[in-house]
Amino acid sequence: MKSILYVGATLMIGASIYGFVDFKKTNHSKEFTKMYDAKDAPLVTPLKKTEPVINEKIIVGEELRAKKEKVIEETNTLTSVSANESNSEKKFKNPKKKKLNYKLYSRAALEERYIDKEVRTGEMEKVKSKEQ
Amino acid sequence: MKYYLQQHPLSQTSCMNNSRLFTLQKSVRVFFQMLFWTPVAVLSLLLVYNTLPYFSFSKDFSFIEERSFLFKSNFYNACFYIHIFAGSVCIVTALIQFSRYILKKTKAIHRWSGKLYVFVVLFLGAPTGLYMSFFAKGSFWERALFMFMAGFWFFTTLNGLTTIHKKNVLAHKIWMMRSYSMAMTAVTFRVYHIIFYLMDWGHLENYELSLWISVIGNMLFAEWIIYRKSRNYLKSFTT
Repeated sequence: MKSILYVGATLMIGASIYGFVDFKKTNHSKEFTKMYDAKDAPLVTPLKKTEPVINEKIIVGEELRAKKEKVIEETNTLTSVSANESNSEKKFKNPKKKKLNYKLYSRAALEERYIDKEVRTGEMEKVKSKEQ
Repeated sequence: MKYYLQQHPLSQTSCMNNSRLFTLQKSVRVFFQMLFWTPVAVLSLLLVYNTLPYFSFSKDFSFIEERSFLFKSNFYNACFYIHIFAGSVCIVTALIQFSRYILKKTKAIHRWSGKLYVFVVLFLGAPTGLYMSFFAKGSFWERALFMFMAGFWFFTTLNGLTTIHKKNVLAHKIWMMRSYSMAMTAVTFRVYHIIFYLMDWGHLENYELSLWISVIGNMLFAEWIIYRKSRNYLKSFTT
């Protein structure tokens, strides 16, 4: 009985000392202090669609006939996704409905980027298990 | 019984009424026990089920990604996996410890399961939890709370062991209830975490509030149960 007490107490004291020493070592690093800070979610700006551009090329090769070629080009411009945008820019966020998933039942941060990942990994596991 | 009822005919009806009342009281008690233990068992097993994928030792989990800096250390890695293993074993073994049926039918299961719980808490779960508490999410107070949890879990489990060695069954029950309340903070924390997430709380505030409510709430609930069951509540703190 006493041996259990001594071993347990030794482990607890050792853990507290070791933890304190490691904490003092890592406390000054920026990586540790900013580890749990909220990070901006990647922003998605809306798709911009331009009107189809019609280029008419008139080929004047032959005098008698004039040929018109219509070149229709559609251009879609996609803006790139940027992680850190300034506040002056307009931000568009897709509001997502929060769905309950058994994967949310954890100590992990319930941020959108982590939740999507957890849900996706869970779905991938299900697909893999079905294939097997 | 028959001789008694022959001698006291009037008490036959009162006996029947008393037995019906007794049955009704027992059914109500069983109903409320099921109302408590069913979600506890389901949520505990779900916690263990969600923990199992971590033993693939993959770093592709949001919990690990958030703490990627800490997981560079081999010692922290080892403490983390030992702690989640210990927690899973604790949750599963503790579920059967409160069963009177198992205790009556086979005391050996209760004893061996209890020894496993005590070993895992005193030598694995509490020390690793104490080490990891220095790097916990939140401010100084959340870290202090985690340290308190580790110490309290250790202290209550140790008292539960010493009291049963002294054959003090009532004190053993009381201290083990307190120990179990600490183990169950893992379950209740996750419930509050999801509730506040659905209420659109910020993730850090959500984490901190869920932590405080789970610890204090569980402790108060355990003390309430002990207060209801004990004749002298203050004596329950002595072994």
